[in-house]
Amino acid sequence: MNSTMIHEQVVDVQLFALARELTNVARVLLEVPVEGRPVTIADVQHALMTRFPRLASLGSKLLFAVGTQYADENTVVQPGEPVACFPPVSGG
Amino acid sequence: MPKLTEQPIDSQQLLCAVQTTQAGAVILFLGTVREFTNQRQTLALDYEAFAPMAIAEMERIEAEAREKWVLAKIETIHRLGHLTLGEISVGVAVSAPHRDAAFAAGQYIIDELKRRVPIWKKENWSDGSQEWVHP
Repeated sequence: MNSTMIHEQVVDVQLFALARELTNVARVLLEVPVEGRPVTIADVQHALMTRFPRLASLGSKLLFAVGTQYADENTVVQPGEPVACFPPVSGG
Repeated sequence: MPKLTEQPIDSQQLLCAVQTTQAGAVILFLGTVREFTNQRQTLALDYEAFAPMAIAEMERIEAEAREKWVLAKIETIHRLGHLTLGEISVGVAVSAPHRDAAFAAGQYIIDELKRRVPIWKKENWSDGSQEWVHP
């Protein structure tokens, strides 16, 4: 295997509420494979689901933020930008 | 500036904070911990937030309300941590020159807060079980 071909972006992901309880972690440094284009939330979600299969019970309900803004699956995650992952909100 | 707090919410303080001679109307909304949901009994609620984003989202909601209506002052505050029955979990106070704007903005702010602000509540039911609330 040629290590120069393997490229990863480390993404700092915070998890909240049920997402945190299902994974038993509040924060994870996730190694997301880079495939010749910017890393997106869809890539982060895939890496997160692979690492924590139990998150599947929240499935498509999981929400994501980059920094302090909601993100969708196409949102680009620049190197160094923090990501948050959480279930539907229930404040109030 | 919206706030998150682990301390009890003082409703009188919220009202005082939005009172101004520019206003002809002041409204106050309080969300409180309800005992019964359908037939299930709640003992307490635990709230957690993604704090920096919660504050940012509350600021965006306040800014949107100011674009939609002519308002004087807005105070939005959400409690975090362990709350027992009857305690105030959220407070929204709005003052405006006229009451229509104050009522409409108050409704908008609490509705959007519940829809978008990253805060979660966990039910502590009377049968001893706990459960995250998901809309």
